[in-house]
Amino acid sequence: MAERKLRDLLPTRRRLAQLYCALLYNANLRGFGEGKIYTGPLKNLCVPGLNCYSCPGAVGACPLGALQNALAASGTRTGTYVLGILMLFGLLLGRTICGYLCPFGLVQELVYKIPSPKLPKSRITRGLSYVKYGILALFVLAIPLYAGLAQGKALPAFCKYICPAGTLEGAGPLLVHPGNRDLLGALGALFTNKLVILILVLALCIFCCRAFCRFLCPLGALYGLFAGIALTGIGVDETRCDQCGACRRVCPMDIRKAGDRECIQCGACQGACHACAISRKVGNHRLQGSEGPLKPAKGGLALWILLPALLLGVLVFVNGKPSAQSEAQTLDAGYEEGQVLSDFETDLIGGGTFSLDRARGHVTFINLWATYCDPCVRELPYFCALKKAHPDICVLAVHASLTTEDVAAYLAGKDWDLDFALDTEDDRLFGLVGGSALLPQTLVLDPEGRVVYNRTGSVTYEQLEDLLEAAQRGELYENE
Amino acid sequence: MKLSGTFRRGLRIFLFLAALALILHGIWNGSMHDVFVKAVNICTECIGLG
Repeated sequence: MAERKLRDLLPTRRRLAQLYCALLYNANLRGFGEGKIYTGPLKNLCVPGLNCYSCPGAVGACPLGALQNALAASGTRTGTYVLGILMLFGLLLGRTICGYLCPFGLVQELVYKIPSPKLPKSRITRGLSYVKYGILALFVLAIPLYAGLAQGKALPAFCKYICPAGTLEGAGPLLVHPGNRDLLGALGALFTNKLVILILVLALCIFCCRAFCRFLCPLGALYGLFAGIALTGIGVDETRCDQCGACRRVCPMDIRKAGDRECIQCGACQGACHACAISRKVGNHRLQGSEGPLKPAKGGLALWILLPALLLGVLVFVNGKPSAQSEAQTLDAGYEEGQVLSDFETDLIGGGTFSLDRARGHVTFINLWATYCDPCVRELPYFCALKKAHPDICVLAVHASLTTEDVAAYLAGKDWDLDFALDTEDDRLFGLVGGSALLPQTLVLDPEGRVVYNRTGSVTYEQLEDLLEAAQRGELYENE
Repeated sequence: MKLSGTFRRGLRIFLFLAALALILHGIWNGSMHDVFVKAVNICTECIGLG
C-alpha cells in the first residue's frame, strides 16, 4: 500500500517528458537572469511544441510563429523550410507532440490539478473543438498571407492577437525583469487584450482539461491533420475492440476514437480498455499494451543516456558564452538615460557617413528598426515628418545586422528622407546604443549628446514632438 | 475513410521525402535564415507588446 502511494506520487514518464522538453526548449537560463532573449544559432531550428521564441529562455524558434512569418514573407521567398519542418514533425510524431512535448500543454495540465468542479465533455465541447481549425485557417494562414502579399506587411496574427503562450512565456518574463522597465511604457491595448486572453484561458483550464489545446490551439489542429499517418502514437487493434466506449469516457480530449485527430496520445485510454485493444506504436512496432505478432521496440536504455546528454549539451552550449550583443553592451558606451553617448561613426546606405561627433549641437534621434518589423516600418514616416518640420535635427535609422532582403533595394522603393545605416555583423551599432533583440527602439540625444530617452516600443508623431521638446530643454523624457 | 496499410506506408514515405526536400530547399533559398532572423530580432507588437 505504501509502495503504491509512493508510486502515485512519482511523475509518470509522460510528465517527465513534458518537464524535460520544457527545460530543453528554454535552456537559455542566462536569459532569465539578464532579461534578454537567446540570439544564437540554435534558433535556426524549430521546436515541435508551442514555445514562444520571445521567451528569454527559448533556444529554438516557435513553429507557429515561424510559419506565420514565412507566409507573411511569401512575396519575397517561399517558406519551404518551415513547411518541411512542420510536415516532418507531423509525420514523425503527430499529436504525440501535444501530449508529451509541449510546454504549454504541461502548464494547462498543472492548472487543471487545482481542485474545482470539472466541466464534463459534451456535444458542445466536441463542437468547440472545431474552432481551432478556424483559428488555424484565419489567424495563422489567411491573415499573414494576405498581409504579406497584398500589403507587404509582416503580420503574424495569431502571435500578435491571441497566443497565450507568448504572453505567459515571452512577455511575462521579459516584463518582470528589472532591466526591461522601459517595455512597460510600450504596453497598450494590444497587451491588455492578450493578457485578458491568457487569464481567461488559464481560468478555463482549471475547470476544463487542456481547454486551449482542445478548442483554440492551431498547432494542435495542424498536427491533428496527420492523425492516421503519423509514425508514432496510439493504435487500436480493431479485432479486439468491442466499441464499449471506455476509451472515449476516460479521455480528456474530445475524441471519437482513440488515435483520431483530437487524440493527444497521452495513453489514458490504455488502462481503461478491458480488451487490451489499445497500444502505443512506432510504425509497425507496438511498444506496450496488447499482445500480438509485432515485437516491442527496444532502445529504452539508449534514450536514458542520450536524452540527458542532449539536455546537458544544450545547457552548456547556450549558457557557456555571452552573446556578442551582451558583450558590446557591457562596454561603457553611455547609452543609459542621463548618460552621454559615446561618439561613433558609421557608413550610410546610399553613401556618406554619419558621425555623432558632427551631430553635437543638434537634437539627435537614433531609431533601431528592420524591414520585417511592421511597427518599425509604420513609424519611420513619423521620423521623416519630424525631420521635415524641424530640419535642424539629426535622425539616424539603423537597420539590424540580420536582414531578410536587400535593405538598400527596399529603401529605394520608399520615399523616406533620412540617414539609414546597416548594422555590422557583430552588432556594433546596436551594442553602442544599448539595442536589444526587441524592435523598434528609439534613442533621443540632447544637443550635448546626453541620452534623454532610450526605450523599446513604437512611437507616435506626437510623442516624437514631445521628445524633441524634452531634448531641447535638456530634460529626461517622462511618460504622462 | 480508413487507409490501407500499403497506401499508408506509401503516403508516409512520400511525405517524408517531400518534407526533407522542402527543408533542404528552405536551407538553400534562405527561408531557414528567415526563421532565425525573426526568432532573434523580434518586433514587440508581433508578440503582443504594444
